[in-house]
Amino acid sequence: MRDLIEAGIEFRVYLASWHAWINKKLGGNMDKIKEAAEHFKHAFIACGIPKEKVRFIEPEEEYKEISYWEKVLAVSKELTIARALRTVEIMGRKQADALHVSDLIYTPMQVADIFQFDIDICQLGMDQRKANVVAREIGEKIGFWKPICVHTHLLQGLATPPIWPLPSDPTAQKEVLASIKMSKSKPDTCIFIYDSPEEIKRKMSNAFCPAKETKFNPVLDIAKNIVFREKEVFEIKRAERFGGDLQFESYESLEKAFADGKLHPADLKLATADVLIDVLTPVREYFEKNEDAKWTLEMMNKFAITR
Amino acid sequence: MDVETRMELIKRAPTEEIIGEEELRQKLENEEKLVAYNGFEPSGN
Repeated sequence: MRDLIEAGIEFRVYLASWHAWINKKLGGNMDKIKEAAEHFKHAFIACGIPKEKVRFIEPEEEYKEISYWEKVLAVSKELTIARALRTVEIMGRKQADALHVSDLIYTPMQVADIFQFDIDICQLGMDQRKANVVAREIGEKIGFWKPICVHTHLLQGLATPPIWPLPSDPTAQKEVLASIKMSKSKPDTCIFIYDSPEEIKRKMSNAFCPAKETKFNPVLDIAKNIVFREKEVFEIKRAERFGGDLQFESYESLEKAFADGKLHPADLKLATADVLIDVLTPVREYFEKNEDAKWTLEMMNKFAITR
Repeated sequence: MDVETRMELIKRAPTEEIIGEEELRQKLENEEKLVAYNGFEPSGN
């Protein structure tokens, strides 16, 4: 998001509370979902999204327009039930879990959103690509345009995969990989932006990080997608007897050293944790100092306990 | 900011794939005003 904004692209953040409601998030309780939306706004700002440069969109202002629902129907008319079912992975669900008609309306609504909000570029996670591909395929046909899709990587979860080594069959492998993304419903698989330094250290030191493994390695994944975004040089402290400190100027050089066994997983984990702590310190401070943000975080923690 | 720099910003990690990269470059070259979005389901911890 920050990169697109820096590149001079106008950015809108959609707080998809109606989608959360369909997807039964927070027990499908709209009051709680609205609280979560406020919390999310704070989270984006805390992470350095410039407040004056993004527009937060809430469904109520857009969905009261009949033209929106016309778009939902226009999309639905181009989408077979079979294909709509295949897109339910954008809800983080399997086809067999799509039991209600509302589950099939989710994708048409998401595609209609793109045209309702005048979006040229859909920057969403890789898990959302099926909806964006539908938008590209049918956009022009229903009188709109072909949006560009910029799909972002989803961080690998920190836990050990249920099957290791990963199955070689591509379909089976895809299934295992999809099941081990960072997920906030499994707190030990992910780093929360407001985790304390101790929590970050604990989670990172327990993270799955087999020596020399570079393909599926959540710690290297963080190094690639976060550390080298934030740091020109990644410094890894190491005792003299283990070879002394290391410095890497690119992800590729780090990956190579790790693959060659010149860098021990424990040292990589610790150094990565240190960078995460450094990057997330202002975020945690924002949630401590901003009373409104702090309150939304307390509400979220309360919702988690009473769930 | 020139088109190449803007493209590099858009392509850097965590971007994993761009569908319609040439269309994007064309729009940047034409200096079109572009709007992007990301959407999230507000949910709990």
